[in-house]
Amino acid sequence: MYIDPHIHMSARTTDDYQAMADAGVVAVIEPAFWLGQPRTSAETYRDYLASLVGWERFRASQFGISHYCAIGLNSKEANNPELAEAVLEILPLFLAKEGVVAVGEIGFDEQTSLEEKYLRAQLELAKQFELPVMVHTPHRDKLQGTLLTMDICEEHSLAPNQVIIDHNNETTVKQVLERGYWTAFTLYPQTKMGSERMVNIAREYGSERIFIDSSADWGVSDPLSVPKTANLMLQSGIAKSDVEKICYHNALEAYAQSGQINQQHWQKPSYDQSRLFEGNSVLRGQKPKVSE
Amino acid sequence: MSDSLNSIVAKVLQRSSSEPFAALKKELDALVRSFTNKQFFFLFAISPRRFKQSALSSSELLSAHDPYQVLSNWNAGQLARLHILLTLAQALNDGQFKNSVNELFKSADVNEQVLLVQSLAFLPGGASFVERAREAARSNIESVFCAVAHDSDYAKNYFDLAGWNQLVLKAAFLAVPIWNIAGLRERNNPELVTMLSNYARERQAAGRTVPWDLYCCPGWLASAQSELAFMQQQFTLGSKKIKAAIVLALLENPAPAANSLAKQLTSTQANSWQDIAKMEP
Repeated sequence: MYIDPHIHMSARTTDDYQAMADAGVVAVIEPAFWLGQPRTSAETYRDYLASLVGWERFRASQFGISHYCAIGLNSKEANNPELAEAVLEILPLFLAKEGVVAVGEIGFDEQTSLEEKYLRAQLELAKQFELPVMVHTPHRDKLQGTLLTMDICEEHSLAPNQVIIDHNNETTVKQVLERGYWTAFTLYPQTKMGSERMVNIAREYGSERIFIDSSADWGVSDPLSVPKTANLMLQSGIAKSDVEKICYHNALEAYAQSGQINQQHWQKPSYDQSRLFEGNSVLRGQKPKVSE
Repeated sequence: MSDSLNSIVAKVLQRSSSEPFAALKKELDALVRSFTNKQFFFLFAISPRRFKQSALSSSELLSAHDPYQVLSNWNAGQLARLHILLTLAQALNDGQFKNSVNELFKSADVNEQVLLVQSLAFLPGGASFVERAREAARSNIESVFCAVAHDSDYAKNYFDLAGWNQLVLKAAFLAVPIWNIAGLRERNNPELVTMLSNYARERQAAGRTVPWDLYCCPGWLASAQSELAFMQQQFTLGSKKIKAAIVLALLENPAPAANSLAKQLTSTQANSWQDIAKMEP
């Protein structure tokens, strides 16, 4: 059983859902993100957030995958203050929805003052809604951006174990772990972190507070990178118990702090539809729909 | 009616979850004094977390208002949401209430959509939400669709002819039960029969199965020779359940010609739609 704790399923096909289910992925967490280009209106942002708690959850359920999400204003779109202000008004509508396990993904892109302003505002929301935070660390000037993010989290008195620092690499892992944060790695098929590098990190740092994700989205990415990397770790002699922590238990423990994700959700079949069909006293035993 | 329903809802909540109910009551009083959408949405969203999924005590108190036992099968978190809606329906003016609930629909998660749609039958001024119910009847999320199709008189009471017919046709399309859509017999009509018959032919042309309970609507109304011939032809093509459904519908049809056709067709005898639903395919 695997959890992919960071994947943008709205950008993926049903073939991906099927392949993930076949590979043993039981749950996914989809953080709110940009669409590859910035939105120009808060209303489209609202519809996007509504789809994360609505249609996408349903789509995943058809393949037996439990879908959760993180709600937030990403750092790129934080640079449009008019949009950002309006989105910040909307976020509280979504943060208490079912299946929302974190505020995220938030953090820095270019480390501008606007990015910092909305990062801080959203850390306060995380405290108000008692949710973990999923932090996107920047792809440029990563180490400085990561250290700055942790400093800011501490200024807002968030506990390190309430915060997941994502997109780590060899240059950031040591300090993030030492400061007590959940330390997540995104496995990218061509650039940045690959599976082999991850095996080395697991050898060096073990499995405490470390987990992996695919961050698969609309770009070149691999929705199977969690199960693939798990297999590579096992073949490379990493202990099974460590692999299970890195690919399942740690992410579950980190996001279970929200009270919204629980192993029971995927240990009993088809959570929502069964409830309604029970009331109809007729179960037709439908298979997941793959068309329309 | 909604007034007394809300007082019963409050009583059941009080008995089921006294502590979160006391807190909610305080916050609702404050919200009624000084209304903001933001606080309304927050209370609505947070209720399941506060009330958990605790089962209701004294849910039998609700039965007079709950012909399909929808509410009595809810948990405390769900009933708390209805309490919020009913309280605000009384406190706000109609336009304000409608606008706020429409906003709530826009940001609803799946289970909130289901609950909102199920609640429409219990809210005063139900007609003003007919477009939200029509949206639910267009949903491809089965649980949302079934919230308007089953165990609720809302569609029967408020959908116009086109809306009603699309609801039944969509049930066939989604392969959710048709036979127990509330009002199916009362609102059956020739346009719907044509749509369903064409849908059956289209599915057969594609070599796909037809839902067995699609045949109640054409069977109840068949009287012209061509209609009876269609039923007879479909009987020949159909599965065991379809055969039973066609015979039962024709027996329930007041036209003598339909009755005598039913008697010519031999199939497993079923006394009710529920019996057929339970038959092995």
